[in-house]
Amino acid sequence: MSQPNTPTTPTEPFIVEVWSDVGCPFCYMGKNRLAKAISQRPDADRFEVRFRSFELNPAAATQPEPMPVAFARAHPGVTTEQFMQMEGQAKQMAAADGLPYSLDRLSGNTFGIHRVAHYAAEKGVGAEFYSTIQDRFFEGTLNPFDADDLISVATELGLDSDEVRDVVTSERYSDEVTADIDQAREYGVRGVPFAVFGNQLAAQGAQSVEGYAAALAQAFPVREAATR
Amino acid sequence: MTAETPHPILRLVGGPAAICDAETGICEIPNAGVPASTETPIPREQATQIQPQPNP
Repeated sequence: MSQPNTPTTPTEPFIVEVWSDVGCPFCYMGKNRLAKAISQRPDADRFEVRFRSFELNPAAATQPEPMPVAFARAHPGVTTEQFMQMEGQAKQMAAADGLPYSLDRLSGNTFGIHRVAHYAAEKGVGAEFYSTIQDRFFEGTLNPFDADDLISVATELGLDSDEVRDVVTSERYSDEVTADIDQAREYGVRGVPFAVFGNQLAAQGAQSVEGYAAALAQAFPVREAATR
Repeated sequence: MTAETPHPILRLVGGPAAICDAETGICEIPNAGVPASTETPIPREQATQIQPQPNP
């Protein structure tokens, strides 16, 4: 996940880096919009998305808890009903994109999930792993704070279950997660999702499919011209 | 289309978009209105926000 965005040749993929956190609803929607924008291009196979780690709440508890409970503690002035209305807005936004959006999600610390994602990236399935984890989390079919769920997805993608368990239960890949977060800080990232196209253009927030398509259309020819 | 530049090597593109703020952990939908069914008005800064990763 943290490979540097080095100069490329025309045969190499065009890299779109996306800083994202697992529980971020707009990262989930933005990810799927970006995928759609890429898939609509005739040269879609020239593009590669790399997810970069970001923690919206580094101080989040390691023991996950229901979202409304965590929210109420952090915002004592907001009722559960009001929180659920806010969630309803996000659900409507997801529905407009044709995406499921479970309201029964957990909140917790995501650092460990990012570590496993880095391991998956090293094995060549980083984007698939992260995307699957996030999609299923918002579908309500996966608990990303559960080691067995992470291992299950990893093994589906062909990774060794014992090795994944070793990553889950250790601190391996912590430096890689921290490096991603440091780079985000260097870029002045104020929020996620944050997408960087070919190390030239950046887009903050979940842009529309058209917005992502426009960024790809703008950045890709520049890269191609530079490598000719 | 172009907003402020976050970094010298990057040029920011795209319009205002739903984003989860890095500093507060708050997620915000731009221009989201106050829910019509709310009897007690919600402060604007709360009405348009949700928080997926709240502080403990």
